[in-house]
Amino acid sequence: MIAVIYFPGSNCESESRIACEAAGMKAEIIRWNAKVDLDAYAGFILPGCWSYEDRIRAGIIASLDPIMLKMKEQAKKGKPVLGICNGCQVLVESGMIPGNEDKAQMALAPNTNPLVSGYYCTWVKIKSVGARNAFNMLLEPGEIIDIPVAHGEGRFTTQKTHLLYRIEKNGQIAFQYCGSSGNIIESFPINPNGAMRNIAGVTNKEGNVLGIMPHPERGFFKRQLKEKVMKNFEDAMSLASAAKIFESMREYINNGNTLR
Amino acid sequence: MVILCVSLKVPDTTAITALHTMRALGFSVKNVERKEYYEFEISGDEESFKKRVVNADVLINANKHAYHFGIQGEGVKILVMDNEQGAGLLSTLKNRLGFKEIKSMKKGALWKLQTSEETAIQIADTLLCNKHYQGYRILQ
Repeated sequence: MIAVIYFPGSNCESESRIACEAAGMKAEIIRWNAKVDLDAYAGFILPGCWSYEDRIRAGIIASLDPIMLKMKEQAKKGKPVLGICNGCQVLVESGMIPGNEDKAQMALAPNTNPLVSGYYCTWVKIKSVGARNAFNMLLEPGEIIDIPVAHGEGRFTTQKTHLLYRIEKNGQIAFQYCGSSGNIIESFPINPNGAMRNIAGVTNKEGNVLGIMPHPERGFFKRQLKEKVMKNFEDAMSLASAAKIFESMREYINNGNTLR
Repeated sequence: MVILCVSLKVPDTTAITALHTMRALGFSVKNVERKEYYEFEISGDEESFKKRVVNADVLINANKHAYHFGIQGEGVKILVMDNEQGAGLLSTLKNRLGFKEIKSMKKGALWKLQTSEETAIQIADTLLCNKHYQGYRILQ
């Protein structure tokens, strides 16, 4: 069973649960303050949107919530933790990604965008890069995924100059924004928010925790995609490439939380 | 330099949440106030600018905001600013609203904490500021 953690202000928990179930994992939504034993769950999702209304800054209040201490313990046991958009912001603020220290080593700063100040939503392409992890096991290296972004603070950045080098070397950059042929161009519109190295998703060193700014649960079924060319209802309900992120999570769990 | 501080007349839910979080983290804080902080470098008459800028509704909505110029009040004052200041608001003020006298502008959040300075610094490091894209300083 996957626990989809619902903070006050989260609003993508239902779609995240549906994506888990369509990928073959049972899932239930649990409140951030529920008195439950997290040992009972095989994996966790921190869904998108605006936990605590982004008060002070996106993700900070949720990152300091007691449930995140329990989440860190679960991650240390090798269980998969997927943070999507605001969930990614929570993971960054808590230090769970890139995971070298118990505090924020990066930030998801306000977007830099020549067209739009603040919140920006569009379809982008991301490429699966980096080392094998719990969320790319069923993706080919370099596979391109059509996926939407919808955020105002999605720009991965850090003051630690060696950190970027270290996470690149470790293969912790899991996804990068790219063009239609997979080319990484570090400028708008291919990079929608100015993130360093076009980073769209980062894992911890062990590869079982992923924070990703685009929304895979919103590009899960073909019918959700921007380019809608569908033969029939069955085709429309079939899975798009973003579904492989959830399917990989299932595969990782079925493999006993190992990356074989 | 003109400093404008804008606060909410209605309860500030961000400050309330911040206070609850600080106490939940074990910090001893009596009260928290938060203001939007604007710092303008202008050419020309300061008093004339002040009279006009308070009517710029992108900064002050008279229905819900109070304001004052300069830094006021008791408590440890922590100013948090993004390292990279966006250009959108300045462009709106200069080009759409006609504030041609603004040479430059900075925006931040001014937190007033009723606690010790040492505790306030710990709170800034833990909660109020992410140093990977923001900075803070204590205002006297």
